Amino acid sequence: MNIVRVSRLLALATLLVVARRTEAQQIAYAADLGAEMDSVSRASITREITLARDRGLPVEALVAKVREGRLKRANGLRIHVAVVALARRLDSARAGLGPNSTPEELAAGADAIAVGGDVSSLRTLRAATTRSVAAPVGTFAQLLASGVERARALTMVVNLLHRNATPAQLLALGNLVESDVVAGIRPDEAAAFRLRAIEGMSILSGDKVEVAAPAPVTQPPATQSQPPKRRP
Amino acid sequence: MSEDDVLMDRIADELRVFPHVDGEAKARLLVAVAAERERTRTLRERGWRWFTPRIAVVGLAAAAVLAVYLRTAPPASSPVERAPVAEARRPAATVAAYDASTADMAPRPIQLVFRAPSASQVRVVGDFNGWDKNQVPMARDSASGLWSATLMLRPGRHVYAFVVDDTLWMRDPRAERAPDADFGRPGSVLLVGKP
Amino acid sequence: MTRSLRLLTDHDGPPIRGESAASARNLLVREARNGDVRAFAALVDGYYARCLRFALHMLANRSDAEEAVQDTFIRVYRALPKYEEREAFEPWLFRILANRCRSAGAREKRRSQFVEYGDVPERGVHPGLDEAIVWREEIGRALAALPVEQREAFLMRHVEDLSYEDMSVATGAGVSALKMRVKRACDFLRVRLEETE
Repeated sequence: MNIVRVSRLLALATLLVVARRTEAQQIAYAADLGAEMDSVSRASITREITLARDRGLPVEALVAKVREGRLKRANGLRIHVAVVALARRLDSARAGLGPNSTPEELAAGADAIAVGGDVSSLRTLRAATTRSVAAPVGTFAQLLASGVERARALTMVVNLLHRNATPAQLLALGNLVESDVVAGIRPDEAAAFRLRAIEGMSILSGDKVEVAAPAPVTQPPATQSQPPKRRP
Repeated sequence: MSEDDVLMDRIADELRVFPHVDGEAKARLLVAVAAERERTRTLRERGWRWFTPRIAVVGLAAAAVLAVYLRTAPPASSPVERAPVAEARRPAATVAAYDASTADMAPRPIQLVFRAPSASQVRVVGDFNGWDKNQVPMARDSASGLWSATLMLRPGRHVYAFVVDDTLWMRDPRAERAPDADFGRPGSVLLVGKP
Repeated sequence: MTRSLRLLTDHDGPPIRGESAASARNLLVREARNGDVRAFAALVDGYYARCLRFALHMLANRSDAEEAVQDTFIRVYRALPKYEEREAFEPWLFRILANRCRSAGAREKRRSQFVEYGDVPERGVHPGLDEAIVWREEIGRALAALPVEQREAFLMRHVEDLSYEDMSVATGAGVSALKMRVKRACDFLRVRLEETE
């Protein structure tokens, strides 16, 4: 046996294991995986987050999900299930928004998927603007969570994007509709009413409908990036 | 049939009614099962692929080195590990990605108040701080027993809660309830920014 | 797989009983053990409602019950390779579920001081509640007042229709002890609920 070769392999294997362990420790620490969690769940959660990171998904959202579960005193299995489900939603969000999406965009996309959004709607939103879609996708998710029908919610957001609505205007629309629905107004009615109000106030930059050139899905997002719209 | 039997039948009939099954809960379970299957399969495949005599020798040697490493490695929560991890603890990416040129998206001060006269510590957690309970401690007003904190939040929908004495999860009694499909413990909704 | 799947899942609610269901179930268990996730999904479909019913009666809390059932099925999935076909599936499943409910119940007891704002039950707010609801609530309260072993035995016997032999497998207790638990539970429920009737 070639001793040099074996030594090299030995060194490589050790390095890999050590690196992997350090990485697992970092994830466990960042996610506040306490020692009281059962070892199977602990290992499964760490592995799921590592795999997601290896696939290029942002780990912040997954780590935050673990912390949320820990604060809510969920058991290890339930946290594992939540992390797996979120990783799947992030995968779907990336399929719709493109591989170069920012973590905020993907988080908003995963929120939209959680409340009934689909990959094709995310593609449509990505194509509707060359700027960051974090706020538009977040608004779309908020409208869906408020009970607005998917096709209607999508049309509303896309139309507003074509009319150069700012991220803050989009987010305000989502907030107003949600408040209306909480107050007892029917979702579609609230959405139509608030949309008319926003258009009527001429707060959008000009009435001329300008259709932005659809951005290829693979194109990196524009530098302007908005904060994530959180889980409805 | 005696009266006793009738009573027991009535009790059993009532208890036999099936509860409503949440389809989403069932779906979540199947996702977990699929992940479990994937996990065991990967482990199995990896085991076979790596089990060759030469690698076994290398593995044994590596295990010896690893054993030494593990004995000298700091525990997971050691401060030595903190430095590289500290970045991941904060949702720093969202802050870094924020474009200050859109003035209407600027963070604005939001004061949260919570009444807990007997608490010795209250913190705010939410999606805005990655549910990290170490980020936003609240200050106590000893006269009123009220705890408060002022956060700088950007427009949008946020979900938050209070953590009392490091263990108790409390919703804000004055805010809308934010349902939670993952863990079944709702938070509170905070809507920032309307025209 | 297709036939067994159809037999067990082409309906809502309770699983089909009887011989055909038993053979379909055995087939599904075998297929699930061989790694067929669809077969396992069919088992989940067939038993989820029943397990949830048991867990809800044991724990009296929807979120804890859901968690217990989810946890049970994951444990069942992990343990399938060790499951021996000569064992009956149902008692085996209920053994895991009952264990899970017992530990969840103990944990809940330990944190009983934990109250969420806004989650306090609003009993007595609606004076016009119809009698059926009052009766259901009374049963729930009486059941919750039973010692855990008696509640578990009563539910397995009178609600889940398990035989005493199957109950013995599920609980690890002897048949005579189980009969005593069921009898005591029945006596208690009678005294407690006769007045409400």
